[in-house]
Amino acid sequence: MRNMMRFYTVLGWIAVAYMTALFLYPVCKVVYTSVWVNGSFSLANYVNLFSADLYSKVLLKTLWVSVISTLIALFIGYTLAYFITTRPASKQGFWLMLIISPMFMSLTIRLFGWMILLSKEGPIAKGLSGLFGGSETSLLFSQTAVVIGIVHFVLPFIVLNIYTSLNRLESSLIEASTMLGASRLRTFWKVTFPLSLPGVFAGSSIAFALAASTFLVPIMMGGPSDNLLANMAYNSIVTIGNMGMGAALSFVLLVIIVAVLLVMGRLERRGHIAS
Amino acid sequence: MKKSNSNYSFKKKGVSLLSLLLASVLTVLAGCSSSGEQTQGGGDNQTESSEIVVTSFGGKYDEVFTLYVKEPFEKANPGVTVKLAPYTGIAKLAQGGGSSIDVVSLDDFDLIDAANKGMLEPLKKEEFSTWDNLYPQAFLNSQDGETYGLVNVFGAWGIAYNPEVVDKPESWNDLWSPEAKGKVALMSQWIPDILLTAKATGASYENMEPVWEAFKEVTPSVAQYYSSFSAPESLFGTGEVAMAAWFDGRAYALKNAAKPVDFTIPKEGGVLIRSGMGVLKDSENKELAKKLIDFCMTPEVQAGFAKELYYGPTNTTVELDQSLQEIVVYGKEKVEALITPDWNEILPKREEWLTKWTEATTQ
Repeated sequence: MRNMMRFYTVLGWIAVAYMTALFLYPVCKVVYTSVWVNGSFSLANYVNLFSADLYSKVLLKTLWVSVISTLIALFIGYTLAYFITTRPASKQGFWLMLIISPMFMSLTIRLFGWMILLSKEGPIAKGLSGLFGGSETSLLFSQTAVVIGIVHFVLPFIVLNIYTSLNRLESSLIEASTMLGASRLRTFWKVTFPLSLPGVFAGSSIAFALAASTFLVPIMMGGPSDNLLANMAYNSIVTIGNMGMGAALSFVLLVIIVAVLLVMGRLERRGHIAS
Repeated sequence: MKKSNSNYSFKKKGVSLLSLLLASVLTVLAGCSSSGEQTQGGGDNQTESSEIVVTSFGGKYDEVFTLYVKEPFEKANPGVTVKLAPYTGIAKLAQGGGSSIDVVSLDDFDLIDAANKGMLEPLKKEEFSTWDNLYPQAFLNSQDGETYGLVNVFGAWGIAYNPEVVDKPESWNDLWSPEAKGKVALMSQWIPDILLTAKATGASYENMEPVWEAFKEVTPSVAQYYSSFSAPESLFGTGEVAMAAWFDGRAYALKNAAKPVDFTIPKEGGVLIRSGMGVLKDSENKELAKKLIDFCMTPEVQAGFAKELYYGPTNTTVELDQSLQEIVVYGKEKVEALITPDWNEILPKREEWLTKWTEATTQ
C-alpha cells in the first residue's frame, strides 16, 4: 500500500516535471518575448495594447462573444443534460453517445457543415425567405454565425459536465421535496438546480476558456470585422511578423481566461458548501 | 512495483528516477533550443544518393509538382529523392523551422524578406542553365541587388466575378459599388489589395490615408476578408459572393469546373503575383537544391504548370497553345502590363500598413 502511494507520488512528480517543461517554460518564453523588445526590457507592447483603440475593441468583443456563447450553450446544454437524465438508464448511454459523436470529427469539417447550412443557398435562408418573402438574408459571416459556431463547439463539454452532476443527485431528495408538497417547478429550482451547480460551473469554465481562445471559428464563420483576440495574435505573428505584440496579446488572453476561471472556481466551491 | 522493497531503497529509486527524468526533460529542452545543429546521415554528404526537401503550397499544386518536377527530376538524377514538405512561412523559418529544408517556395515578398534577413543563399548566373531565358520579373533581389530567388510561376491579381449576378467590373472601384454590397470578398491583410486600392483612390506611399478611409467605408459591405487563397472557391460555389479580389489561375480553374465565374483585370491594372523558390543558407545540399530550382525553370515544367494550374510561365522560351495564351499571364506585354511591387521599398512599411489596415477594418 505504502509502496503504491510512493509510486503515485513519483508519478505525480513526473507529471509536474512534464508540465514545467512543456507548459510553464513556453509560457515564460511567451512573456519574455512580449517584454524583450529589440534587446532591452520594455512594456511598449502592453502600453500599446491597452491604449490603442483597436486592441481594446477586439478584447471587449472577444469577452462579449465568449460570454454570450457560454450562456446560450449553458441553456441548451442544461436542457439536453436534464432530458438525458430523465431517460431510462439503459437508453442514457445512447443519448450521451449522440452528444459526443460530433467530437470525433474535425472542427473544420463541422464548421464547414454550418457554412453550408447558413449560406444564401442553404436550407435556413431558403426557409426564411419562404416564410417572409424574398429578402435575401444570409446569417453567414456575421457575429451571429460566430456565436452559433462556438456554441456548437463547446456544447458537448457542457452537457457532459452537467449530466454527471445531475446523475449523482439522490432521487430520494426529489421524492422528499414532492412529498412535502412542493410543485415540480419549485422542486427543480430549490433542489435539483442548486445541487447541479458544480457541473454548471465546471462546464461553463471549460466552455468559456474554449470560446475565448477560439481561432478557427471566426476565420471560417466570421465576417469582415469578427476577428477575435486569438486571430489578432496569429496575424501579428504570422502575417505582420511582430512577435512581441503577438506574445503580449496571447499573454493578456491567458491572464483574462485564468482570472475568469478562478472566479468560477470560487463560485463552484461555494456551491459545494451549499450542498 | 509489486516487489516489496525496503523503504530506503525505494526512496532512493524514486529520487534517482526523478532526477533521471528531470535530466532527460532538460536534455529535450536543450535539444529544442539548439535544434538544427545536428548533421544528418553521419555528415558525409554524397550527391549520388541524397534526399532533397522542398516546401510546397499543398492541394493541387503538390500534385502538379509531383508529376512535372519530382518524378522527372528523380528520373534524370538517379539516387536522388525529392521530398515535398508542407508550406513553411517566414515566421516559422525565423524560429528555426527550416532545419531539414533545402528549398523553400514562398510568395515574392516573403522570399525577399527572408533574403534581407539573411536566411537564404545567393543565386549566381553561372549556376543556372535557364538564367538568360527568364523574364526580368522572375528574379527576386534583396536590398543589395543580389538575386536570392527565382520565380517559377506568374499569376495575375485582379477581380473574379459571377457574370450571372453582376456586370463585368471595369475598375477596382466597382468592388465598392452598391450592387455588390454584401457580396464582395477581399483577402485579409494582403498588400496587393492595398496597392490597387491606393491606385484607385489616388493615394501615394507618403499619404496612404485615402486607402484606410476606403477600407473603413467598404468593410460593412464586405462579406468576408478571407485568409486562404482557396476560400473564394466555396464562396462562389454557395453564391455567398459575387465579386472577389483573387488571382487568375484559381478563377479559371473554377470556371472550367462549370461554375459561373470569370476573371478580369481592372483598368487600374492588376498585380503580378509571383511565387519563387530559394535555397536556405542552412541547407546541406545546396548544389542539388539549385539544380532542382533550375529544373523548375525549364519549358517542359512551366508548360505543365500552365496547363494544369493556369499559371504563367516565367521562362520566355515557353510555347503555349493559343487558348492557354489568352488566359494565363503569357508574353512580355502581359507581364509588363501588371504592377510589379517593389518589395524592398514596401517591406519596411508593411507592419505599419497591415496594422493600419486592421484598424480600418475592425469595427
